[in-house]
Parts: sequence; C-alpha cells; structure tokens
Amino acid sequence: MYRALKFILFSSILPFNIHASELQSFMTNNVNFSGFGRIVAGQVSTDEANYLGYDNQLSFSQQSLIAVQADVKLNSRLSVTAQVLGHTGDNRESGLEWLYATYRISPNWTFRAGRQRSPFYSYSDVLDVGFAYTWITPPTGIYNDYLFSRYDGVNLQYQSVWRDYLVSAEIFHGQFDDTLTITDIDYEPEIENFQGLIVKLVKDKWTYRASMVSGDVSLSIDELTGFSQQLRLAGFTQSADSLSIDGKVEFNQIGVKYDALNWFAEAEANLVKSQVLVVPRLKGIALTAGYIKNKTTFFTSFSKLDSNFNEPVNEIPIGISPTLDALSLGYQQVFQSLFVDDTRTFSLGVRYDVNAFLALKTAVTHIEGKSDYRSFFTEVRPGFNRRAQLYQASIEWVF
Amino acid sequence: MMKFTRRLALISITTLLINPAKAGEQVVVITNHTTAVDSLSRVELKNLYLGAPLSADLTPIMLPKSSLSRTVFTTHVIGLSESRLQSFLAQMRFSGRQLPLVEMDEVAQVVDFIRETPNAVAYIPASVQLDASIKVLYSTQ
Repeated sequence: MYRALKFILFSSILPFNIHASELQSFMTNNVNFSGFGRIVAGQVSTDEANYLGYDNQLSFSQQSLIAVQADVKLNSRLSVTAQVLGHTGDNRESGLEWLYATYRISPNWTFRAGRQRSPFYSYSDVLDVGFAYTWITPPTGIYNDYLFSRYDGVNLQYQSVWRDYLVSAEIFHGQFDDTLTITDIDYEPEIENFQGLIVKLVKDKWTYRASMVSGDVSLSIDELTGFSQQLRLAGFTQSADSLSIDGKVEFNQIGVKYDALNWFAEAEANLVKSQVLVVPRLKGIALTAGYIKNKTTFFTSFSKLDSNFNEPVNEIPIGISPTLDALSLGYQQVFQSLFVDDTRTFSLGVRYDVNAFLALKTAVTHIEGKSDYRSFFTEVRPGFNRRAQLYQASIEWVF
Repeated sequence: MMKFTRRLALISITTLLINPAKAGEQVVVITNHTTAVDSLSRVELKNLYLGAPLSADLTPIMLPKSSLSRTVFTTHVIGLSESRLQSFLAQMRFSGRQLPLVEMDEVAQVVDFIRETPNAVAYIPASVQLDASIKVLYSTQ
C-alpha cells in the first residue's frame, strides 16, 4: 500500500505535457526549496570506550548532516514535501527521509500521508535539525537509540484556539521496516500498527505535551528463536514465552516547557513498556534550563535513564539431568547477556545565534553509567568505570 | 575619541535591542478594513504568528530581522527572543507543521500590501499615518 502511495506522490508532482515556460513558472510559484545542516565535532575524554560513536580523537563524522527539503504546492489545499538527507553517522542511512502529501482539510484539520518523521517525543521529529533546539546532543535519558526516525503511514492533525489556549491533537498509523541500531548492535525489526496520539496545549508561555505511541514489534534473531523453540519442545512454555522477540512496545511521554523572554525551562519524562525481550522497560527524564542574553543562550541539562528487563522465569529444574542443567544455564545466560543502558547525563553549553539562519554551539556533557552496564558506551575496555565527558562544538544552519 | 564614539554607538544600539519599548518605539498591528476581525489580543496574535488557526483565516506578515518594529513585536507580543523564535519556526517548518512566514522588506511595502489584500495582518511602527482602508487590530501603546 505504501509503495503505491509513494508512486502516486511522485507522479503527482510531475504534471504531463507541460511546456518549458509553464514548468518554469510552476517551479517559481509553487516550489519552495529549503533545508538544514549541521557540522558537529566531538571527542570523549577517555580512551577506554566510545560514546555515540565518538572516541578520544576529534571526529566530525558522527552527527554531521545536510538535508534539502522541497515543498511543492499543487493547489491551495494539497502540497507534497520531499526531504533528502545525507548523514555522516555509521548508524544512519542517507537518502529519502521524507516523502509525504499534505492535505489541508480546513484551517483546523490537516491530513498527511507518506513517509514522515516519527513524533515520539517533543523534539523527535526535528532531531536532525540542530538549529531547532538548544543542545548539541538532545539528552540521552529521553532521546536515545530505542527510537527510530521515520515511519510510513498516515497522520491526522487537529488544531484549534479556545480563548487563550491553543489546543492540538494528532493521531497517526503506519509501519516501520528498516535497520535499527541500538548502540552498536543492528536489529531488523518489522514494526506494524505503529500508532499514536499526541495532545499539546499551549497557553502563552506554557506548553504541555503528552503522547502515547505504540507498535507491534517483530524481530528476527535466529539463535534466540531456535533456543526458544527448544524450550517449548521440552515443555517449558513460560520460559519460551519470556524470550519473546515479538510483541507490543509502548512509548508514553509527558512534557512541559516555559518560555520567557530571557530564560526558559523544560522537563520531559517518558515510560517505555515492552513485551519484547531485548527492549527493556525504560524510565527517562530530562530537565533543561537556559538563560538568554542577546544572541547568546547559556544552557544546562540533566537526564536520567533507568531500565529493567523482565525477570527470568524460574521453571527449569536443575540437578536432575545434565540436559536440563544445560537448558537452564542457556536460559540464564540469555538474560545475563541483555544490555542495560542506565545512564545519567549532565551538560553545560552555550549557543550563539549569528543570524536568523546560523548558530554556533559548544557543550560539555558528563556521562555516568554503571560499571557492569553498557550505558550506551561501545568498544569498552575491561575496568572502564562508565564515566566520561563528551566535548562537542557545532555549526547549525537552516536555509 | 573615535573609539569612544564607536563604543557609545554600540552601547546605544545594544540598549535599543534589549529594550526597544523604552527607546520609544511602539508598533500597531494592522489589517485591511474589509477583514472580518476588529481586534486581536496579544495571545491571539502570538498564536497567529506561531502557526495557530484563528477563527478567521489570517495571513501574518513579518518585517526583516533588522527592523526595530520586529524586535518590539517579537519581544512584547510574541514574548520570545529572536533566537528562540527562529528555533521555534525552524522546528515548525521542518516538522511539516507550518510554512515559512511571509516576510517583506519595507514598511511602505507592507502598508501597500495590507491596503490591497484582505485577511493579511502585519505590524508596523505606530508613527505611520494610516488611511481609512486600513484598521488597527492591536497596539503596544
């Protein structure tokens, strides 16, 4: 269905039998090109581990990117948006990030169909647009690898003003079918029934947001499926069920923001519930505050992520036969090999707005994990205490 | 001496930017006399410029960033610094929620446009003389 949609979208922006002059006038009046980019330099303070792809050598190629967006207005209600993204990070694919049609049903109702950004949390749909937020790296307590950037589907938005309140609500339904890299491990999930409800309320300086997003996740990890079948054959159905890599994952969020003229503060909290073995239950919070003096914004943020996996089932008897012992050991080992990403981050930074299109930022983030956890660190050397600083500077622009 | 004058000029410009209302600049928000709306509150105006649909389908117009009226408007009506406003507009635009605001270079151009176009809304310096084809929806005075 989504392939067909994509074809319709493409063909609809290329009208047939059109003269060169007409095409030129159509392009001038109805096509709007814009885009954004960022060059991010970063380095971690330790040589014992990498964090977000950064090691202790200065690197420009983890988060730098450029994107071009074309908005084609077909008539007063219908438009098509395409966005092409080039990303330097190893874990992000470059290419067509967006392709959707927008139909403005009325000033209050908007319908979108196609490939679009996944709106998990407050900044999820603009994570690539560094110019649109204060931090260089959004707090990992909330914004981390357990999220994916886009989905294919439909989205309906409602916006209305009631007295001094601006109320908006959004529902969407779609699917995601691509590689998802959590820290440095690739998964190939198929996510069906990816759907959600987002409610936002703005009253002058206050913004409140709440969202519920869920999806039916199906992973294919052959070793785990094989082992799970073995357990089921041996009659340990509860144990087999507890190794499920198919199931529902739910993302819930609440956020509040206060924007005054020369300062702002915002808080976001999330709760991820999961039936899928490799995705733990996650609880995250992020707090950010900033002070603005002319073109300079000084900011600080704190974030925290706690996770826990389901407890293993105590079903397989031990000490009866070597086969059962091996089965039990194998089962325990699966749980021991799950990665725990509990983290705390604390960061300080400065953003300087050169003009309406260009901003410079610098930030230092202290990351604290636990010594026997992964805490989003990779290439870890034995004995590393999961504490490091990430130094970053960036140039962010929109055009 | 030259240096001192330059510094003084710089200080006075900075003061203007920080607190334009104190510097005496006021703005009025105008529309064509045929527009169905007769007045807007500060919050309604803020919502309009930040992309909310009001009961009437109005098109907001911006002046360039260098304009003092724009600084007064963003500071006193929208209540955001220019950099926060730009961040917010980028967020709206690149999440597909709002198209870029229409920007016009000159106050005279804005006044002409409003005179000829129903349902457009713009802020201009309060000192500009207006005729009957234009009505004022809001004033910072």
